Parts: sequence; C-alpha cells; structure tokens
Amino acid sequence: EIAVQRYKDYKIEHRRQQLSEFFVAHKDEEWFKVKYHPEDSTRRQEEVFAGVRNRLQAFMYLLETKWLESIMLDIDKPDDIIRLLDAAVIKMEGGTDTDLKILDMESED
Amino acid sequence: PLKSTKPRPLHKTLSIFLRNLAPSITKQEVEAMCKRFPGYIRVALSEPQPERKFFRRGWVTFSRDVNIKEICWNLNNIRLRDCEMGPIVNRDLQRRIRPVNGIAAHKQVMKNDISLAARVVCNLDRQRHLWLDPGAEKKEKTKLKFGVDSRNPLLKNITDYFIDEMSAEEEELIGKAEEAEKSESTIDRDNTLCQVLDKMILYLRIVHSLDFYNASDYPLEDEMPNRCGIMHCRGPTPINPVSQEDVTEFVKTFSEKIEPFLQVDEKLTEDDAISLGKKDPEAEVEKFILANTQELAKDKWLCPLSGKKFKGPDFIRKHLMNKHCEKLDEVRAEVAYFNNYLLDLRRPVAQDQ
Repeated sequence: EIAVQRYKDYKIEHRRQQLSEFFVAHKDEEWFKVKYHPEDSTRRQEEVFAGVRNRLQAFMYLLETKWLESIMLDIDKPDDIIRLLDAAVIKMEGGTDTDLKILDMESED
Repeated sequence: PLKSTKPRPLHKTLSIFLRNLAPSITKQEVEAMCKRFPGYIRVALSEPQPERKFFRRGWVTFSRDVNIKEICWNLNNIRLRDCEMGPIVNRDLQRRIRPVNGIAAHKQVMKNDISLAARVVCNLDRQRHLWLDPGAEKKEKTKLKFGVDSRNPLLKNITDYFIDEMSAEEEELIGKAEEAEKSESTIDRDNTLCQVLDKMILYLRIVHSLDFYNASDYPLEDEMPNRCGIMHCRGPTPINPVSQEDVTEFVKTFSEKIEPFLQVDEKLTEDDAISLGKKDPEAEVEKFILANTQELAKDKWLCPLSGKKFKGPDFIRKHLMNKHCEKLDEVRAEVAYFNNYLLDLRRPVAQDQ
C-alpha cells in the first residue's frame, strides 16, 4: 500500500519536474511564446481571427453573388469545385470582379 | 490605366519549402530574409516537431511572375543562426479534389452530416468570435435547442433538417411500410439536403479551413502558398447495394472522426493543475518581494533592483510596489505564461523521457 502511494507520488513529482524543465528550456522560443505567453498568444490569436474574418468576407461575397448555387460536392465535376476554391482565394487576396474573370479566361485556353 | 483593368491571377503563386528551421529562428527573421526578393508575399512556419528537436518547416510564397529557381538558388547560400535551411522549390498541388466513400451521398448519412456540420460550424464560429450575438450571455439558458444557436445565416432553421419526416400513416394504411424500409438500401439522392449540407461544408472549407469529408483541418492554410488547396468530396456511387449496416457503420466511424472539432478547448482540471505545480500569481509576487528585500545590518535594508537603502522591510515593499510595478507585472505575466502551458492538455512535451 505504502509502496503504491510512494510510486504515485514519485510519478507526479517526476511529471511536475518534467513540465517545469520543458518550460524553462523553451520559454524564450517564439513558437512557445506564441502558444502560451499572455501577450504574444493574444497578439497571434488576433492575427488568426483577422485572417478568418477576411475569409468570411470572401465566402459571403460568393454566397451573395450566387457562386454557390449550382455547386454539388460530388466527385463527377471536380473542375467546378476547383473554380470555386480559386474564386475564394482571389477574393481573400483582395481581388476585384475584374480579377475573377481570369477564371473564365483560363478555361478557354 | 489599361494594365489595372487586366485580371490578375491572384490565386496562383510560386513558393519555396524550407525543410529545416531551428527553433531559435523567428518568423520575423525569415520574413526579413525573403522580403529582399521582389514578388515576395508571405511566410508560413509549421508547428515544431518534438521528434525532430523542435525544428520547424517553412513555406515562402511569391507571386507567379518571379524566377523561383533563381530565388531558391540564392537562398541556398544564406544561413540563419548557423542553420542550413534546406530550401527547395515547392510544386503545385496535383490532385486538389479527392473522393471519399460514395456512401456519403446516402440520405441517412446526409441527414447525420447536416447535424454534425451545423454543430461544427457553431463551435468554430464561437471559438473564432464570428457572428457574435451581443446579448448572448443573457440568453445562456434558452439556447441548446439541438445544440445549435447562432446568428450565422447558414444555420437559420437548420434544425428542421434534423428531424425525420415520413408518410408513415399513409404507407401503413396501404400496407407499404415494410417496402419503404427496404428502399433505403439504394442510394437515393435528395437535392434539398444536398444544397443545405454542401453550403455548410463549403463554409467550413473556405472560412475555417476545415475539410469536412476528410475530417481534418489545415490550420496554417491562410499563410501557406495555397490558401484553399485540397478538398474532399463524395465519391462515385458504390457498385454494390448499400446495406443498413454499412450506413450505420459509416455514420459511426465518421462521427468519431469529426468529434475533435465539436469539443470545447480541453483544459486540465483544477486539482490536477495544482498537483502538477500550477502557480499562484500573488504568491510568486510575494516571493519576488522577499527575494529583493535584503537585510544588510540592523535597520539597514537594501533593494538590489535599484541599489537604494531603507530603514525596514515594509519600506522596501512599498518602494517595489510604487517604483518597480512593471517588474511585478512581469512576474505575474510569467506565472500566467507557465500556467497556460500547464493547463493545456495537448501541450508539447519532451521526447524520450
């Protein structure tokens, strides 16, 4: 009984030490700060949220301009789906209605 | 003026893959190195891999009109913090649309997928603060009608589709009930369901970078060379008849795969956190104050931060709180930093220990 409890305590202590050592070893690295440091992680999260909001705008544009109406997510017409994804990317990059025309020019080639 | 009316191929890029980036290299350093080349657009760095000594991989994106081989050649001669980055030219994606089992077009599977997709949309919208409802907190109790409550227009009246409808009475009266059960075994498409589901799947794919039918996400995608690259779709209709067991099995397996995207961020319980060494910010501040309160002699106390001397420990405490409050805030931030790491159930840990 005592041995079991000792072993448990030892295991918790060991993990505790591991975590603390890992933290000290990596706390000055960027990837770790971005994940956990209160300031850096908040800044990174805001960047990510802004990116998602930009993508939402692209999606809403495609929804409102009826790009999504005839799309079915079946494998028989992959080119239609690729065209839609490319249109989404053009809008994410700040493209205009004129820029979207390039998708028709390509399919004529 | 003529040039500006010409459509730009903004969806096409060229890019370089950096195989090896030491963990000490920052994103800013990689950006600074690549900005010197005209046509530079952005840098993406992967999460580090514990099994590779926390080295990261990187992707540098350029516009379509650059000479990518020349840039790659030039990067070959540059070292960052003594690290060979191993740059190579990244090829274009070959197969962007990929199939999953065609059983996904079965009506029963689609109904289940509509419910799953709606819940994933709701969860990710909330995590990323989209469609926030200003009065949401007050409404807390009235929600959870099928677990979907959102201002996202795609989810309007979505719960109608969760409910099965059937002409059960009519079929019973004319003795067709058993036949109807059987007819479920062939894949009959329902275009209304299709439209509702596909809009949500496209929403997840475009906005949240989640590839629904593959039950995977591409979290770095917005910074990668292809901002909306690969997508999975329903494959061809299975040649053999689909049994009820096949459908049940497929639904079960898929629900398990998509489950991680339905979860709220996982955190350690308070008890576990404390036993693993969660720190209390004010206790750490107290330790910091004591460490900086040094008794030199009777009635002579030193604050090593400023080198000033005081008559007693309480004066030093006041002095630290007034003159070095930014140092105390740093201590609090460091505690929060450590606790955030500790509380994360998916935290990275050292290998081979």
